[in-house]
Amino acid sequence: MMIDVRNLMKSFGNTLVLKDVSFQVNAGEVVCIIGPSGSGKSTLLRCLNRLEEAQGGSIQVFDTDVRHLQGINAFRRRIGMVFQMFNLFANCTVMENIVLAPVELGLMTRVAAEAKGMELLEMVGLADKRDVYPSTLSGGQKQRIAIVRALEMNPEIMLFDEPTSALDPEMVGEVLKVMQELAQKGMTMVVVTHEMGFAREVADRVIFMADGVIVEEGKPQDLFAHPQQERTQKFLNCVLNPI
Amino acid sequence: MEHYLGLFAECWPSLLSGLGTTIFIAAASLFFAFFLGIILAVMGLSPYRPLKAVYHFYIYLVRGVPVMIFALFLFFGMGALLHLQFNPVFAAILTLTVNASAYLAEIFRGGIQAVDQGQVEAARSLGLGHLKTLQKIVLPQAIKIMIPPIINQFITTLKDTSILSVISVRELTMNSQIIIAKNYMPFEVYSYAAIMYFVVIMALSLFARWVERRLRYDD
Repeated sequence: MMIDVRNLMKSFGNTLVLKDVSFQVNAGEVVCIIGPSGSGKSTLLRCLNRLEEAQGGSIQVFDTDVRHLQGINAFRRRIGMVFQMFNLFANCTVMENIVLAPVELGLMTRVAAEAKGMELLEMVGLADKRDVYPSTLSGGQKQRIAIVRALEMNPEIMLFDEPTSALDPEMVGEVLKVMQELAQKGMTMVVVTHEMGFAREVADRVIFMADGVIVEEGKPQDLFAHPQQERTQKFLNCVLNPI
Repeated sequence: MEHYLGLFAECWPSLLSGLGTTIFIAAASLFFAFFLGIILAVMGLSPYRPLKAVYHFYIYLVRGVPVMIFALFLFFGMGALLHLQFNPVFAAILTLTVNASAYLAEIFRGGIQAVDQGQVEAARSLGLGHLKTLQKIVLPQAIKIMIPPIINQFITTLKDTSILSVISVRELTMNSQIIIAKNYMPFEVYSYAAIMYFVVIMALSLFARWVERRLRYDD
């Protein structure tokens, strides 16, 4: 098992945003977390690599106790993260974005890191952008490069925090395609998303969250076709049939 | 016109020496203020409350007292209290160091806080530590944000030196007043001083624009 979260509690001030959340992710599994805004999906994801500190429960990732581990930086290298707002380093070119961490951390020589970076850029179809600054790129291009930057570290798990929510509609597909290829290669992925089509097609399992709890989880064909809980039915009805 | 230029040639050595003192005091003050400002900004950004409190007290105090009052209080007030005669240039540099350090500290603090938190999160998620993140991601972006207000502060401090004539520092304004006391030609002499200030500040502004253009990477 790659991820084992038990009875997780998280609050911001007096607001409890995660109430007793438990879930597991197996190696090679793709899990999509769906649910209304403010349900705690992103916070849950951010607890996994400790960008947020939880207040209760346990989080095991690669059999490491995330809440009490020493040496957070060595742990984080093993988990790639992709953000809604891309967060490419504005002061670095595309290639510098990709090689900065492995080179600075002494994991690869610059030459090896750039060679690997080029391979990954070719995979996402952006080899010609290696020397430009992020501000010259479209949202879809930025997000594909953010994925490359994370993959450069050879992560064992990839976390995606609403990777397509900030994109123009016509650019969503190019990012989802890269994510689908990654899933097909066997990457363990946890994806917080509003893309129901992606969840249905690519996920091995879908988790529906609302108000800080996991309401329901299951295989996508079951959860989308036959949601058991009323809250899930209501949400899916709104999302799949907006008018 | 002949009169205007002739008089200028006559006043030139004294005005130039005053301008030299003006630039020296501004440069020395900004040099010290720069380091003091960095220390203050670190205090202001620290999560440790007492340090933050000292920082805010310092900033409010400096912002709340006019430079001229500070200079007069230090030079005459403290001098009388301690029964000693301060060197005017020393008092001048101390005054402007204290003043500029507060404003520079706010510029440094604001510049660092203006860097998008997402940049930090991305760096940390890749396993980069606090210091590497600061060095490779936050500071390069913060410095770019800080450059225009820093140059602005340089210009302000340079102009504030004119206030120091009240503690008899022989800078450009004081030397103009001394010349006027002898020749009674305030129109001409003050206009020379104004032009000299203007030329130096204009040069500084042009330099600032050049630096800003060179640092630009996002368009």
